[in-house]
Amino acid sequence: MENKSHPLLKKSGFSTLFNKQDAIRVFFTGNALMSIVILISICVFLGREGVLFFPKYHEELTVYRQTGQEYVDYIKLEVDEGSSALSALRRARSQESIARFPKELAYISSWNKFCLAAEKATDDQIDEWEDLVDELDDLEEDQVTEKNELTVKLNQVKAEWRQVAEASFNQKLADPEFSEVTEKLDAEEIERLRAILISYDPVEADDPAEIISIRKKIKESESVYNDLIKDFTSTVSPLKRMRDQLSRDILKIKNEAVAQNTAKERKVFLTQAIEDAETEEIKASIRSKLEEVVVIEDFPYAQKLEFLYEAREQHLAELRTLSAALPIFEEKLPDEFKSEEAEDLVNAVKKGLPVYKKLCDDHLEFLPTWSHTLELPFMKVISSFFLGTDWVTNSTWQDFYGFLPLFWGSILISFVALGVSVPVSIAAAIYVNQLSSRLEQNTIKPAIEFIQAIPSVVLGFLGITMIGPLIQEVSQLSFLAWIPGFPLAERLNILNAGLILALMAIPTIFTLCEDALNNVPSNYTQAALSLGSTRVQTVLKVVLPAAVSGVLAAVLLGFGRVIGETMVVLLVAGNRIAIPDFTQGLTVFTQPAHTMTGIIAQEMGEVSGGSLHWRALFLIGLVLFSISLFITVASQQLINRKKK
Amino acid sequence: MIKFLSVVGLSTLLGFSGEKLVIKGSDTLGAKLVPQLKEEYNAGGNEVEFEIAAEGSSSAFSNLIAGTCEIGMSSREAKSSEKDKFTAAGKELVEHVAAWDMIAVILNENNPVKNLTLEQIEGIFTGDIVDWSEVGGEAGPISVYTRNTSSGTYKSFQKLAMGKRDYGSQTQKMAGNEAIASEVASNKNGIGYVGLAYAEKDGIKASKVNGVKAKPKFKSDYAISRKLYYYTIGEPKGAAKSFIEWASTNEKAAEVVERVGFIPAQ
Repeated sequence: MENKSHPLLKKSGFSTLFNKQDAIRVFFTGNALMSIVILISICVFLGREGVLFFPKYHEELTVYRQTGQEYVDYIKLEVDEGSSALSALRRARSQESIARFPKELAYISSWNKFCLAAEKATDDQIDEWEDLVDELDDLEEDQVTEKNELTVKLNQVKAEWRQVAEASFNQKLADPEFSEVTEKLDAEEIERLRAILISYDPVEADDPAEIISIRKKIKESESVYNDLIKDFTSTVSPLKRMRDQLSRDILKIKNEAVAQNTAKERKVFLTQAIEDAETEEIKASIRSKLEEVVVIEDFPYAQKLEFLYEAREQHLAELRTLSAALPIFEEKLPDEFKSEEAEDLVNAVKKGLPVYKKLCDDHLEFLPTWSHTLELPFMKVISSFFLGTDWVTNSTWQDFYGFLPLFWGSILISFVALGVSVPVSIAAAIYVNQLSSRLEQNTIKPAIEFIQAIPSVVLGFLGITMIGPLIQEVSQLSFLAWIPGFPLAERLNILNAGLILALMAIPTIFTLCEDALNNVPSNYTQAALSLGSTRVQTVLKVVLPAAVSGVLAAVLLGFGRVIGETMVVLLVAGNRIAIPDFTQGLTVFTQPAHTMTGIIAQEMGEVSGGSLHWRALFLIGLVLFSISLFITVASQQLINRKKK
Repeated sequence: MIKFLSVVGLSTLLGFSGEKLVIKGSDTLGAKLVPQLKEEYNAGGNEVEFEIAAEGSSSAFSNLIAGTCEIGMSSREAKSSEKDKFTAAGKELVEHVAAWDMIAVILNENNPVKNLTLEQIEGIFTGDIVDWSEVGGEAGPISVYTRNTSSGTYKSFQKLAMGKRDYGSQTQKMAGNEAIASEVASNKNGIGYVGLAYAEKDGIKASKVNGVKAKPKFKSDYAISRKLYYYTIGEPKGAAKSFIEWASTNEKAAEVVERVGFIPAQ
């Protein structure tokens, strides 16, 4: 009250109520306060929505267990393991054949290539041919004249087709780009191919007789593999049938259970809707819906799942058979190879079979006591998010929210981006700050900072239309084949996304780095120079060490920029939700991936507010937020430490 | 539910004069096709007030029997249990084919594989089959491109070609038909699926499925196709009759059907 300058105590009118200084101060404190309030509400909102994911996920996974879906997924696991072994055997079979019948397979492959080329060159004729065949089919028995006319026309088209196809054949023979196909063939084979092509029917498009007979011959020699694959398939197939049957039945129960569990909410919602409805007609239609909703307190899981417990005996019996059969298969695996790839593949199967057997035995051990009533520990739900390897949404079966594939995608892409941008921008900063002339400084700095002005969606588009095809083409150059992962199969991949993000991180890192170098007191430089060190020595030995914490902070903020970027990764990273295959060494960078930011952008549009999926996305947002926060705090710490 | 309320709200807000036609049922039909047909129908000089609600095929039958809609949309045939209900209520359920939903499996044009069985397709898209050599092609890892989870085709394909199993984790989710086509065109080992209208792009070709070509004329033999239906109680009358007749015979309607990626029934 003694404070005379308090505005409310002044009595002489409105203009003196707030003097100019106060108004400005209130304006700025207000703004600062506002931003803090907004920040806190973001934190609270994100935190609440994100953390609430866990209880809800717990609920959903409990239903997943109660409806017996979990049990069926154990069967799925058993079948999947078998499928991947089968897949490896099929690949080994084909590799082995390639090694045993190089000549024959090269012949088939050349036929395929000539045939594809001919089909491409004769698109118009094939269309015409097809149309004529259709017209002929449509004719009635007695339209003889029309029939004859069309047949004549058809023969003309066929003759024309042959002409064009042969022309394309000759053209390909002369084509130097086709030489890797043609040089494997001798003159007689080329003539045989020509003959096959001329008698080929591109509309029916069945393989010619000669090709079929070669295939047959190869297939006969694969009998070891074929028998093995057949036996293996028939051992796994009862489980497969069981999986299909049980998942159908259990899905019905699950839908019933979910309907029951939401019945109360729906009832409240519908009752509200009747009150709000405007016309009697709408009210009646909602009422009829309301009558269908029956609330049962406890869903009779035990009663509904009786059939599953009955089927369990059969399942365990099949599983025992499988487990007993696996060592026999292991012995039966071929041990003579002509192809190294086949040997590797079969050896992988050989190593995998004991693991498979162990999986079956483990299942045999705990499945007999499995019960849908078992309690699901809460920690398991938390770990199934943070350590989960599957992100499956909009599934008819069960949605899973596993964080790892997205996390690794983000990390690998950032790694590539920083790997490229950090050396470039630090070098650029050193050059501009220490070594360049004023003119260079005035051109380079704005130029680099200008990159920041390019919208990220434009850069993403650049990635799809230019950088992607460019990297793919470069990777096909034969002298670059030693680089792991080259030639690239996918043009949308981690490498591509990383390169574009590097472009976006460079201005951030460069600017901050340059500031850090600027902050090094000039007497350091002068002292070093006066002691006779060269410019480069001064930079590397004196200036850079003095600025190192600032440079690190710049790198960290660059990382923050990269990991939070959305548009580019959504467009360019390839959107494959799987943990990159690290066993492949460096090729991991050429695989497609999905990211934390990308998944939020991609899936936010399709989820309804408050649903589990929605919360899962918020939780990922929360994790991203925590990462950014950590980065910012860490870089602040670094900068502060330097100031002391 | 939100969709339903918004449609109800919209149609009451707009307050058409003239006849009223209530159409309920399948999401596949109700999301795009029928609303666009409605536009075209009214643009052609008709003044019919439409109420369209897409809540799934089953709701078509429950609404028809309750008398709360005139036309039911369904992406599957009525089950016998559903037909029984109508018989019990003394009502006759009449079926009209609205369109065909046909999905082409596309490969790179340089891929020698010409035919895939449905089982092989299921294997490829669920991840059981990972290499082209397993299906008679030249050795190379298969890259699988699918629509993203919000697409109706994503679900339809799962139902028709994958035995309702989940997609493998190695599949790449693309924003649309166009994106799938261009990735498959650029990747020798690529495979994907698109609406039939997109299978003609450069660089790709449609595989035969179980030996049947993906062409509109083979729609009934082709494995990854299904009929989409309108259902009415008894032969349709009045506004329902003229709309169904127009939708299944008019050329403009056929254009709309093709535009949203289906095959006209005729």
